[in-house]
Amino acid sequence: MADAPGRFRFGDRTIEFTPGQSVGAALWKAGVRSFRSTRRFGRPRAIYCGIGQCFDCLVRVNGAAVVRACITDARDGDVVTPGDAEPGGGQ
Amino acid sequence: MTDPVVAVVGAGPAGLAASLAAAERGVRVVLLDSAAAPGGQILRQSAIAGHSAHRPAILRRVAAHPRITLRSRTEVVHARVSASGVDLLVRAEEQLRTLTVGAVVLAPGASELALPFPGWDLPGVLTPGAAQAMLKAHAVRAGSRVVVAGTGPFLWPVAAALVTAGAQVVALVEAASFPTVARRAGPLVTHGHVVAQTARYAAILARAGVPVLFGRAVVRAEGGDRLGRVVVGRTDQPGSAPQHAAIEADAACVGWGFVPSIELARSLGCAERSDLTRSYAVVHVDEDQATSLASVFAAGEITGVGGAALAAAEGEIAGTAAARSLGASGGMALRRARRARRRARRAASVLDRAFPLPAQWADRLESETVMCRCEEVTWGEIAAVVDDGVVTARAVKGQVRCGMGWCQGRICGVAVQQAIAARAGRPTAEVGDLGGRPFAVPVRAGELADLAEPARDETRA
Repeated sequence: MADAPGRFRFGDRTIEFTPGQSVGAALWKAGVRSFRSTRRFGRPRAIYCGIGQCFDCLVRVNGAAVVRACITDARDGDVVTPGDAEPGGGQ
Repeated sequence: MTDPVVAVVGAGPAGLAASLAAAERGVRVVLLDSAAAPGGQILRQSAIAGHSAHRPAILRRVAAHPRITLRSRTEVVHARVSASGVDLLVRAEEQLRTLTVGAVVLAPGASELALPFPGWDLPGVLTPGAAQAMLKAHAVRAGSRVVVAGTGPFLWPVAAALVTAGAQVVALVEAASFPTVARRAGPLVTHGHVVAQTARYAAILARAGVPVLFGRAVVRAEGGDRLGRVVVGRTDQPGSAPQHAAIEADAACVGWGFVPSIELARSLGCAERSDLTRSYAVVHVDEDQATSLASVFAAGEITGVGGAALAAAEGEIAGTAAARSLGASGGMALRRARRARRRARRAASVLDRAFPLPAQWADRLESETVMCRCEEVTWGEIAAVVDDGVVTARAVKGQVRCGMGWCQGRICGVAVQQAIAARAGRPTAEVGDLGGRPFAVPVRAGELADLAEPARDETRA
């Protein structure tokens, strides 16, 4: 039996996931297609390579440094925010 | 002094076979894998609790072997040959450690080859491998109306898996023309399992009414903030006016085959050779999968892309050779593995020729097309530098920063090299690649600082 679904926040949305799913897969399934905005052109980015190589899908979990959403496990109660650059250019 | 240890980097078909072969010859093995669970891309298992379908035999055997220690979510950042064997700089849980081993088998696999086109950075355009990974591990479909495009045999299982999962695959777009594929893939009729597998995928697509378009490519992706449709044009009549057709889609999986992940081998200094039909470098190995460096062996896609069967055969030979290099007894007979390797290499070279990259792909680039996704370097910026006479990839990178972002040129490297060559009218060998890098994966400065505090994790696996 699969466990009960979990939930995390992304912006003003509550994203439901099945335990074991990545943050990226759960966001994608919920229809989110902008995980962050790019530094130069402000373009949306989401999943591209899906296996942790391209770094398109960067997000922050509970305010920490950016991680790749496609290889980060979703956890119940987390607050996920876009992996945009911090003011000053840091990630 | 502890027993000698072989480290195997990568738990795909090559690394799994290497681990088993070495462990069965009595050596301890530490198997380092960046993913959450072993299997690599091909044997990827569902990550969802309770979804464990039947596990492939090789995964069960590796998991059960007393001399194999698997370390998942562990990236090998850097490696160097030392007096006692090989020192690996290993990253797990955002911490770096040094691991000293007697020998190493490099089996890191490959990444997908991307060829940029206008709109390829729109969310909804992704690699076939991404669609496959999301589906296999996370039970998430890339889209509900999906185009699968690019070139090569990998497009078929991806399209078939999407259909089986309930997505509508609105087209499979193969750049090679049907006569080219039919003529050049002919020798594969003697490879029964290849034929059977292809027939199975084709049957799934046919039953679902998926149109298969040969000699065509996705030349543009359109949409505002996400993919709305793709434009498909001809590839088989270079020079003629392209005939374009728009296809509504919420996902487009576009891939052009694979690029060997040679970062670690390169940082070690292993001799390389240029792949004969593609323009990337692969690791040079001898009959025993030994690289040019003592104690360093290589198996799988980094010695030349050829799929899981070839990787497994090479892995078995490499693991055996690595164990022997540490004094394990037992001959290097391996007749079956060597025969399998020979056969799979032949099949791989046939497939390579049957699915060539479209010669003029770079003609479709527009000035605003983003080449380097990380640093957002456009084709116009690269072309301007090339037109000024800067014609090596490394020099172009120095000027416009393509390949200097997070992915370190893994995604755009081959494309940038080929596009520069096309623009400058020079062979890709002269343009060269974006160059090596000291670290195979990005590392935070703080982690390096922490490493200065010696926390050596000798060979205790």
